[in-house]
Formats: sequence, structure tokens, C-alpha cells
Amino acid sequence: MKKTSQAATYRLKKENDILSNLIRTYAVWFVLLLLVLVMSFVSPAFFTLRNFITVFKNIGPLLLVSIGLTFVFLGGGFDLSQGAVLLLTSTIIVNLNPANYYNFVGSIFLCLAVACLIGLINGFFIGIQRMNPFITTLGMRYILGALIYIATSGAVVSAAIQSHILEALGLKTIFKIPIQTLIVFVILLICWFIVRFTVYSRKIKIVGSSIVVSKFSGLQFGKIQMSTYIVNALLAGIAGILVGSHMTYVIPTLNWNYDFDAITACAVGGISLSGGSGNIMNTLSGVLLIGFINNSMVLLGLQQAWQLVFKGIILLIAIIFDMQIKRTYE
Amino acid sequence: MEKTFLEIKNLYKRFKGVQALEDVSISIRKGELHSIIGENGAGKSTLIKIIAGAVKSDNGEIILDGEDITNWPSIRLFKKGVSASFQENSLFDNLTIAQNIFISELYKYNSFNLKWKKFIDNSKKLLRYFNLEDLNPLTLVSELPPETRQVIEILKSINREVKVLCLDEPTAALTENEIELFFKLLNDLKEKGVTILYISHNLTEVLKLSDRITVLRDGKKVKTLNRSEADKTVLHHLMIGRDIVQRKRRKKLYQNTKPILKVKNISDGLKLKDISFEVYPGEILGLAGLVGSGRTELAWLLFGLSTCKSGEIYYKDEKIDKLTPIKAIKKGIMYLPEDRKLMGLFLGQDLIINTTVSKLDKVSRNILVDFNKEKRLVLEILKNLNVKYTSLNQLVLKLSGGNQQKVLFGKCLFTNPDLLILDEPTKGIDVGSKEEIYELIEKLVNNGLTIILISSEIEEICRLSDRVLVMVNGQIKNVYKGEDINEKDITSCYLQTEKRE
Repeated sequence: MKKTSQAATYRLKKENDILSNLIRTYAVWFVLLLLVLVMSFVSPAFFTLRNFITVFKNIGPLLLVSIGLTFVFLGGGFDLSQGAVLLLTSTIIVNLNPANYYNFVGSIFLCLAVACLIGLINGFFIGIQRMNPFITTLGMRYILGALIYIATSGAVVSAAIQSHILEALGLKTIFKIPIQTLIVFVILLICWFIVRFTVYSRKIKIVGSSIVVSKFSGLQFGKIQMSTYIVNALLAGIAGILVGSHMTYVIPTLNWNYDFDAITACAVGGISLSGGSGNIMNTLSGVLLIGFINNSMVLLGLQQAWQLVFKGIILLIAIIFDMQIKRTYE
Repeated sequence: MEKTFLEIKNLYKRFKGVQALEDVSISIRKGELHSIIGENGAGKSTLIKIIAGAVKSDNGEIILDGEDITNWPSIRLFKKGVSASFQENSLFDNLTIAQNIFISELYKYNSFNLKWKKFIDNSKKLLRYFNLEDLNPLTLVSELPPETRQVIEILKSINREVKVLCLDEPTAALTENEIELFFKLLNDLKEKGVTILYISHNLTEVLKLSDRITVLRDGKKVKTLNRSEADKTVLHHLMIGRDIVQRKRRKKLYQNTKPILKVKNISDGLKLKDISFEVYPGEILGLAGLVGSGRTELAWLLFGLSTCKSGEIYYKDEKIDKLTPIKAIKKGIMYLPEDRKLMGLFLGQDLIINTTVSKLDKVSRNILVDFNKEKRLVLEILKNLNVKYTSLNQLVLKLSGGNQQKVLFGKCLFTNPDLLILDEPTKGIDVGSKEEIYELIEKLVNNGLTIILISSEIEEICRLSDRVLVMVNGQIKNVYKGEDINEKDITSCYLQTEKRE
């Protein structure tokens, strides 16, 4: 009698688990679909190719930064410096304003090298020296922000003479699709492949699950964690190049929201903030949701402040979900 | 005297996968010393934790003096006069002795001036029970040796008007001298009419102190006896429920072969001092000793988790230095850590990831994971180990303790080790799984694996080992071989030397 009721409770619990897993996995996509449906009826300008291309173009840099952050989150880390890296590389590319292909390749190479170096420094202190990721990257954020401010005196940097190459990277389209978006799409595919299929991503997830266990399992957890910061900074660097070439000017006091938006996107998409689980599709769903919400707000003519309110609410809902999943662990 | 004071009725408690208590009913009389005995995992500690309010029961009632106190929060129970000292030290390291003893006073959050001066004086009085009046009550607990910490733990539980005192293995860390003082204290308390619930492994102690004795086995109550009915053989029989298995000794002479591992005079500069021993292929070498005697430190050193200050290690005739876990695994040394939840398994990951983590080369093709091969290998290994699971994508934390331990074995065996160091391989799992793991260990050794077995359970060491090293304070005290291996000699070897100091 007792046993059967116990078995029944167990079965019930299991079914609940499956259901909650399903909701968990696809919740963001459902919300996204709902949003698209509702907006299509509310706003005639919404469901058009033009609008969709705009949305995809706008989310490009955020998507790159979020993918980078996904690597860090999977490895059990945290990063607050990507926004600063993005701003730094965009400032460099606009400042250099490459006029011919040699200069162009050189300046891109420079930007990526700088980004890698920053990731390496972050990763060294956090991965190898086991310093707190919050504090380390917050420090990096301050340093980079101040350096940019010193270099530009806080004034708007703009390309003196319009460079065609930079303009092409920023504004040219192929079959109506911006080159930027294509680049982002290719990087998205590559990263999805890496996270889905490679031994490297397996190692990242393992290290992110538990440093102590990975130590006892014979993994080089320090180096693996360090590499995630390098990947992250590299992607933020690429995002910076795209932003810089698109805008052709940089306001040193702007663009600081990318890191927090990326954290929001990852959390909403379902990347575990405590490490070890998630994939690139999670990140994509989170970024798309944020992108479409921003877009809908603009189309509905709401103030930007309201966008923040909605973003905050969605983030809180995502965290509540995350907490519930964790409670079942205990 | 005959009146029931504390009544435990049909108590049930289930932890993940293990039924810790099942339909336990005990009635305890006022002013008696009631011992609760049983093997490891019999549910003794759980019972006390439920009575003291540290753990909630699933079902059943606890009635104190006519009042239902089931699942009360511990502070309310404490005010009622129920207090407990637990097996795991529950002291705050960075507080002083006085603060720890009178920690419950902090719950009076409505009064701003706690009378610390009075508490300090009272602490001194309490310390006098153990002839520790020289000890300053303002000493930090972190600076105390383990036996004194245990004393503080006991004093903490008796500082107030106690009616029911629950003690979980209070003498395990005490020295002989202190144990005597402690028994005197218990008698004093008994004269004052305090009811005492006493848990211990040590049957001599139990027989010396108790008025009545309850035996638990596998979470169920076996019997409650009066002191006059009990003696060692009766209790032992009730506890184990079967006769002690006579182990079949493998008849092989390992000493004639070349040792697989040779350790020469190693010290780590902290705990381990001048350790030398050899391990021969195909044997089980037991490492016995108290917790903290340096067994785990030695294992970590052999697996490359720590480095040795001096001395040499030879593995398969090759000198090893600057060992890291990665190198160790490559060479065929694997370590099964004692705490599977903290060190052994990724609880939030599935069975496949947990099994293959230590040797991903085996399931990779260039930079990619060969998922099909991985699945095949994991299925094979988990089947051999008889792990019960619903799907390979199941999270490890959803498995029972015994099955988790088997997965941990799977993880170790996946690396194809030649030398496997097992650190408490049967800690916290049920009796059935324990037997399975013993069988597994013997099977592995018969297939040519060499095993170093670290265990606090002396029966386990005696049952499995071909040779036993006894460690005391970071040194090897004695070596037992073949027919000389028996529980009594080994236990007295590490206990007596410990107590003389």
C-alpha cells in the first residue's frame, strides 16, 4: 500500500520533470513566436522582410558578444569586460580608418590581437591564478574604459575621410542581406558546431560543472577556463569591428550596455549561470527575443526607458526559472 | 522509572534512494541511558538528527512527556530541553570556545546585551568537568586539537537545563583520559535525572554505560534489550544479522614478483613522514588508520594532486617525479576519491559525460567527440557494473548512492588503470550495493588490476586486503600479511598508539 503510493508519487514527479524540461527547453521560442504573432497583427510594418533584416542586423554584435559569453558561462566563469573590448576595437578600427586592403587586413589583425591579449589577461588571472571572475573583469572593464577615454578625450571619434572598405563592411549588402549579418551567421554556425560536437566544448562544460571534480578527473581546468575568456574577448573584438564599421563613428560613452544585454540574453535563453549546461541555440533564442522586443517597442513608439523595464522583467522571469531548476538539484 | 518519557513512534525517513529509517518505534524511560547501536548506515545518526530537529522525518511521531514534538525546529526543542551533539562537528571555527558553547543564546535576538562575561565564567565551570580549566574560553575553536573540539561539542549540548541529551559517537575523537572524565560527567547527568540517548560503535562502552540498548539494522529496529540480557556476542549478532563472512584468501605469493609501485622515504612536509612501501601487481593493499592519519594525503600524492618534499616513487621500474593527475592517468594510475559528490562526480551532468571524462581521447576522433562510440563504450561498462538507470542521459544526481558509486567506479575503469587507489569506496551506500562493490573489487583484482584500498571500515579492510598497512600520524606503524590480518590487532594498533600520545 505504502510502496505503491510512493511509486505513484515518483512517477508523477518524473512526468513533471519531463514536462518542465520541455517547457524549459522551448519556452523562449514559444514566447518569441507569440511575440511575432501578436506584433504581426498590431503593427503592419512588423512582418516585412525589411523589418526582419533590420532586426537581424541590429542583433548581430549582441549575438557575437552573447556567444562569447556563452563559452565563459559554460566554463563556469563570468565576464563584465566584453562591452569595453567591443568599444576598444571599434575605436581602433574607426581611428585607423583603413583606406586600402593592406591596411584593412592589418588593422583587423591588430584589433583581434588586442582583443585576444585582453582575453588572455582575464583568463590568466581567473583560470590560472584562480581570482574572482567578477572582480577581475570588472577591473579590466574600468581599465579599458579609462584608456579609451584618455585616448579619445571622451570626444566622438569619427572617420575623417570615408573609407570605402570600412563602409562596405558596415553597409554593403548581398541579395539585400547585409554583409555584417552574413559574417555573424557564419560565426554562429561555427560556434554552434564547436559547442555541439567537439571535445573542446565537452571539456569546457565539464570544467564549468565543477572545478574540484575536474581536478580529480585529470583535466587542465585552468587552461580550459582561460581559453573561454580568449574566445569571448575575440568575439567581442569582432563585434567591435562590425559596430565601428557600421557607425563609422564611436561615442566613447556609449555602447556600454552590450555586456549586460549579453548576460540577459544568455540567462533568458537558458544558459546556466553557474556553468556546465547550455548550447548556442539557447543563446540565439535569448538574443532574438531581446532583439524583437526592442524592435516592437520602437514600432509601437514606446520610450526607450520602457524597453529597459521589459528587459528587466524578462530577466527576472528567466532567473526564477533557473532557480527552480536548481532547487530540483537539492 | 518505568514510565515512558520519550516515545518514538513508527518513524520513517528516506534519503535519495536509501531508506534510512523504516518503521522505528522506541520508548525511552525517564533518567535512563539508552544506547542505540548498529552498523554504519543502520540509521542511528539519522534517528538522533530527527529527534534533535536537524532533519525532518517523513512519517511518524516523537512524543516527549506527552507533547508531540515531531519536526519541531531545533531551537524550540532546545528550549524544551532536548539537545544533541552530532558526529560531524557542528562548531563555528572562527568563534571562541565560550561563544560556541553558548551559541544558542544568540537566538535571543530581542535582547541587545548578551552577558558574555557570565558565559565566559560558565564556560570555565563547564571545562572543569574535563580538567581543562587552564583553557581560556576566549580561544578560537579553530586553534583547538580534535579531541578538545569534541569536548566543546559535548559541553555545548549540556550547557542548559537538559532533559534529553542525544550523543552521537561522542568518544570517537577523545583520548582515554578524557573518556573517563566524560563517563563521570554522564553519571552526574544521570543522577540529575537527564535522559541520555547514546550512539556508539564501541560495544564495550555501550555495555559499561547503558541501562537499555536498542539495535538498529538497515534502518529497522531489531530489538531493545535490557542491560542484563546483553553481551558482546548477542549484540554483535543482532547488529550484523548474520555470521561474519570468513574471507577466502587468495593463495598467491606476491612478494616474489616485481613491485608495480615502490615508494621510498617520501615526506610531503606537512603530514606524511618518511613513508616507504611496495605494491605488488594483482594484490589489494589495505591502508588502515584513523581519519586524519594521512591516508588520503598519501593517495593524493600518488595520484599527483600534491607533491612530495623528499623521497622517491618508482612506478613500473620508472622513477616518477612531477606527477600530475593527467600524467598519472596516462601511466595507468587512477584514484577514486572519498567524497563522490564533491570530488568524484558531476552531479548535474549525465552518465555518459561522467563516465568518459577522465579519458576523452578514447572516444574522440581528431577534435570531435565520437558520440556513437562513446555511447557504446559507456553502455558496456555500466552494464558490467550492473548500474541501474533509466537512460544514459539521466543526471547522476538522480541515481541512488550505490549506483552513483558504481558510476564512479565506471569512470575510473574507463581509463583502463593498472593501479587503482580506492578511497572509502563504500562510504554512505546501502548494504546491498556494498556487497556488490566488494564482489566487483575482487573480480577486478582477479583480472590483474592492482588496488590500494583506503577505508575507515575495518571489516572492509580485513575482508578484502592481501596486506594491510596501518598508518598513524602520517607514518606507517605496522604491516600485516595474510593470516595475521584480523580486526582486533589492526584496530588496537592504530587506536592504542593514538591514545598514548
